Amino acid sequence: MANYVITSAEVKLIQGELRRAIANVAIAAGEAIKIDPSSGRAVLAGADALIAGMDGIALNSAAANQAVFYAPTGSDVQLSADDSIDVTSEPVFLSSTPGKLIPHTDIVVGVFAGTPTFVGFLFPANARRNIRLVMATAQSGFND
Amino acid sequence: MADLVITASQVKLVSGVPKRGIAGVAVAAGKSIYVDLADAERVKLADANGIGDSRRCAGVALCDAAANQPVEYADNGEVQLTTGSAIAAAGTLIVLSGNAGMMAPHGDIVAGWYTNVLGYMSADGKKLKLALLQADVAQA
Repeated sequence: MANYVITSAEVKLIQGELRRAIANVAIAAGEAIKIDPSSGRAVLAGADALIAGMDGIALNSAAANQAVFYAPTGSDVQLSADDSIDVTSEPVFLSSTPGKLIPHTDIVVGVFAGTPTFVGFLFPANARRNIRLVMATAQSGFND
Repeated sequence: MADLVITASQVKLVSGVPKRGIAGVAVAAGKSIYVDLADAERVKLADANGIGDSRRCAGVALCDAAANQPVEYADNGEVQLTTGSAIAAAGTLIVLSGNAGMMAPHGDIVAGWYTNVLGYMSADGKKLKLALLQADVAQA
């Protein structure tokens, strides 16, 4: 499978904490972000990025230098207003494409590059349109 | 003159303390907003010839948000509206437009608009110095 297709306008916080940062790049609602420790600003998270891991899912869209709100671990976020974004898979991982999410079935040799970050579980089972954020990053790259 | 042409991606807070709310409609950076007291204080597009709370501008949006998403806005300080050429002459008094979410030079006010002063343009014509004033009366 490829990166999940998320419609920014349908993303919203269901429950959990609302955090704020200043975007260092353009970020769309629904994208995975990382707070760059050197600047304190939000950038797109990616499994292949120099800074491993992620800090949350963006809850609004922002250009560089604008405020971006995001949901951290423990939060539930709606990714789609009605349709399931995946009918067969629940565990979600961070993609090698900055800001994007993939199903766990994409973590295979020859397809995935980078350091795996488990993002969370899709729910409910009969319409997987929401995600419960867990966010745990492996200590090393997939093929290390 | 017409409504100011603002590129959302070029909007940023220069100074001041921002506020936040939850958008009730799609809001883009640079739009004039109001807080709808009749709808859980959701942030929506202000309109000088609208109805109810929509005629009372509460600030300028500082990021994009769809309905139900968090949005940050400024009601004090200074907001950059463009990184390009000046979009209004220095010192121009800026008011809420009769087009939802837009702002206009004060000379554009027409009968029926509820007067909302947003502030005035900076010396370079690119930034809005906010000084909100909401009049509960329409232009005669």
